[in-house]
Amino acid sequence: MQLLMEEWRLLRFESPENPNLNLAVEEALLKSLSEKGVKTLRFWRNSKAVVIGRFQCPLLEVNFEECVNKGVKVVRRHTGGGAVYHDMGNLNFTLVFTKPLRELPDIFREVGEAVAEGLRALGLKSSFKPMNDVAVGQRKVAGLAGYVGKGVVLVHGCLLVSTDIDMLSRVLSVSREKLRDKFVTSVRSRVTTVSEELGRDASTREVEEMLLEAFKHALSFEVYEEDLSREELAYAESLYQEKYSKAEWLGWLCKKCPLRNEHWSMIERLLRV
Amino acid sequence: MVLIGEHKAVGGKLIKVCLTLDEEGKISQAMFSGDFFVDPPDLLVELSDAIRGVKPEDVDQVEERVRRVIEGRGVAYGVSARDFAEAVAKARVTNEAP
Repeated sequence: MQLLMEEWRLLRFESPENPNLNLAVEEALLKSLSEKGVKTLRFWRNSKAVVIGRFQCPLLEVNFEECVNKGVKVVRRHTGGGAVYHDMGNLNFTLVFTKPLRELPDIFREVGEAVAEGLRALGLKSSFKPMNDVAVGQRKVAGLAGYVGKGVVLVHGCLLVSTDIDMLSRVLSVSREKLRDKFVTSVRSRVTTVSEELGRDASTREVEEMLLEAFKHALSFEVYEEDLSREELAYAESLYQEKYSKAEWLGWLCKKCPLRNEHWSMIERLLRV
Repeated sequence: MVLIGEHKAVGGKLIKVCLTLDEEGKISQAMFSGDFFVDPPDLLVELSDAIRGVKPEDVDQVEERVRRVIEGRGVAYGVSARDFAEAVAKARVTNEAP
């Protein structure tokens, strides 16, 4: 007897010029899951943005001058993890689903192994690197972040398909401490892209198809394509207005930080990029 | 004067801390940040508040304060209470940006 496959919505909604709205949509998807049981796989992109983790200080993670001068927006997501540079050569994926009694590292492993499996299907020697990275050889090609609530899970990640690594190196401020033990002295030598590894230009659409198959196989679901509902968009827009576009969100750690006075005007400046 | 410390945990997660000291060399203000995961999110603010009044070099005491908050209130992935304490112990005055 064949078991009935779960059905997940395949969503391709994206707002590349407004990374904060893109992030607000992520929270709207969690609400849809909690209230209506809608499981979603989403693919999306941002145009020139640094997305920092929930627990990071933007001014300690980005090169402020480069971001302002190059028009790179700096935004904060609602999940933990590290800062990443996004451009249209970077494919983001989000899985919103139910999974009782699992912890975040277990979920990262499940999703990370699926991404690695997909990359192996493209011919790359890819593997999941705990806690939340996927690498080709020793170089990082994708990172994951996520949230686990009461029975609900949101995992999102970014996969470097043909990202501008030179720009990434300029706008991210990666400490020497972070690079220690990796036997490298620069971000450039620590990350790679799918295109670089394949030796040809890979498109985000091509990689998206690969990831779709990998996720369907690993998590046992089928998809139906559907757009964001009017209700979800309205909720995302309200989150964008009231939360993501505010200095209080981007600088939420500043309120008790000794560097608040130096940093606050810079936070406000970053919001105007 | 603000001191900044960084410590990389086993597994690669990086904890950063910005702090100030009072005239006795005890922590008067502190804020942790980094690429780890904690839940609930406000736990990070509580951790930062919890180490006030301790000397940065007193690693065991900082660790104990952090551990008590984590165990009482939530969960941290990728970093331990000891890692937070190590970041504090490494805090130095820095001229680097920002």
